[in-house]
Amino acid sequence: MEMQTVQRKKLRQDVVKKNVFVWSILFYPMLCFAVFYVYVNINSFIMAFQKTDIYGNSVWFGFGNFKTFIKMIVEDGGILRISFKNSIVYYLFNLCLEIPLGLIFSYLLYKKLPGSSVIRGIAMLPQVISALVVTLLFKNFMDNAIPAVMEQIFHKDNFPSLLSNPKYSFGTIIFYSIWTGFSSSLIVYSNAMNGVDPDVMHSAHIDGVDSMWQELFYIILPLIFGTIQTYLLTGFTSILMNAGPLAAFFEAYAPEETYMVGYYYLSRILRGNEHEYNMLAAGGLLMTLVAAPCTWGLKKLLDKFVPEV
Amino acid sequence: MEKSRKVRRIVNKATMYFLYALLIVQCISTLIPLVWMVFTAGKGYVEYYDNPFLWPKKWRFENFELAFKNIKLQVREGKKVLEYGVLDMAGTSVIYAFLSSGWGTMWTALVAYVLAKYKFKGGEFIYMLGIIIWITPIIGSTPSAMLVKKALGIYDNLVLLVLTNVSTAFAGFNFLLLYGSFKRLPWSYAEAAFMDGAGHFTVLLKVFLPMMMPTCMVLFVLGFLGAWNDYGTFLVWLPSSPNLAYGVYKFQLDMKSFGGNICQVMAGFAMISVPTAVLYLCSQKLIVDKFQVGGLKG
Repeated sequence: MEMQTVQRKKLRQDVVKKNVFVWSILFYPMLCFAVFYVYVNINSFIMAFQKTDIYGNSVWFGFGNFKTFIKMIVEDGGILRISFKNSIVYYLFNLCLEIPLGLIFSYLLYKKLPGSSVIRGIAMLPQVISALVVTLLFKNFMDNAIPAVMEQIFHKDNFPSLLSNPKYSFGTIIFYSIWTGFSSSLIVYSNAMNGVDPDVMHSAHIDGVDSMWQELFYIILPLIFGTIQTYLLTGFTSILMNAGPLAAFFEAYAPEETYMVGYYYLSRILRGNEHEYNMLAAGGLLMTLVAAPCTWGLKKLLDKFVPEV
Repeated sequence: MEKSRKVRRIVNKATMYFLYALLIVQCISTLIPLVWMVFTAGKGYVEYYDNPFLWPKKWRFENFELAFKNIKLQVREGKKVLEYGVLDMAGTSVIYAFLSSGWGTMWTALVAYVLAKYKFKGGEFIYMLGIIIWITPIIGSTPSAMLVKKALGIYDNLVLLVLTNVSTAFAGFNFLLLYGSFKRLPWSYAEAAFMDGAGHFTVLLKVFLPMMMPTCMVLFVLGFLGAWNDYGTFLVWLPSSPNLAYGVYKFQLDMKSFGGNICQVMAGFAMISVPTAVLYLCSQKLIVDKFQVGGLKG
């Protein structure tokens, strides 16, 4: 009896020790989460229904901020309308070009063709050596080097800077994003492909799978769909948050033709337009109300394709 | 039948090598601006305008010296105007990169360990919460975050900003990577250590963390590289404590008023690339092998 009591006491002590250990680790991150995520978002929600009066006090404004935001979206030629259009175009290019190219190129690395290890090393360069330097190099390359070459080789005077000229700038930004964008996915996808069991591939070959496309579509892609799903979801999540490389190229003053929603928000903050914060919060709330259910719907849909392994 | 299979095999190989050639071209094209940076950094201004793409006739290392001298940033702090030179900004870069990467990786690893290895009330909930906040887009909360951080004195304070930047330590790629890795390690190691009288902290510090060190090192190095090149945080949250990336960024935006030119800008770019290039080359194999992302089923 006494033995049982002692054992029970020891068990209780172990549980207490375990809980003390667990919560001593979780306490600080959860506190930060409560303040910098939960409270910040609750505050953003409240801000959406307020405006700042001339004395700097926050006063109730009902749905006034929402009306202003919606008016700005529907306004023909307005900067927010351009931002929405560009954000969607940017995402579609990413979805239709960057992800498929990343997957195909990763497959080639996975097949270990000659020189593939060197290419894996080079592929990460723009991401790890300095994404900022690559961005700024590209800018200087477009603004200085390309016009100089066009002048010298093709004798074309006043060749426009493809980045600064509003006519070409958004197209150039999309090109830049695709050009540098799939480098990290190249490593992630090819590492995921390396995890495919060689026996599965062997059986597939016996069953008649003999072309690159068959291998890719019928064997590899279904098996690594978990990784692809993560990329598809995070890409979708960031449609309205992505500022692209715009801040690196133009700081707070990008040409209007290149604006994306994420950059619109960033530029307002960089310019210190505090009087717009309430309207921005209302816009954020509206967009979250649309984007969050869509993201979860997409996740549910994609979950159906993830193999149970 | 045999002939058509042979043709198919040839077409398949040709497609594969054609696509591989495209990949090689893409890789080479990513190197072109880097090589151009080195050329330009070694040229005189006149030589650059005569021939922006050719190898320098004579290497002019004074561009590095001039960049070192000209890259400076003036920051207004109240009534005072402070001037930051390259060395000041490099110091900030080192402190910020070490602190933010080390602190972030440490907390992510600790939280991932606890959630992966311990069953307790709320554990599953926190894990699910991490996935929810990761993939649920909360748009437009930066203005609110700005007001909150200003009110708490975190805005424009490097140390406080980094120390409080662990609010999503239980979400994101890094967390999932570490969570998955801890999950795969057998708990029997811990049981053996408990039998020998070890406590929970000892098991964490002496058994599991050493086994997870290579993965943590990869995350630390990637975090360090990201933080070293981070100008965005300084642009938005830390305008009064510029790092080197922010300094070079500002310098190239407004090089004429700094008394600089394109060759000095490229020399500045080369200067900030060297530490990260060395670090990457040293840890390249580890990074390339360990960089994996799983699915999000749940």
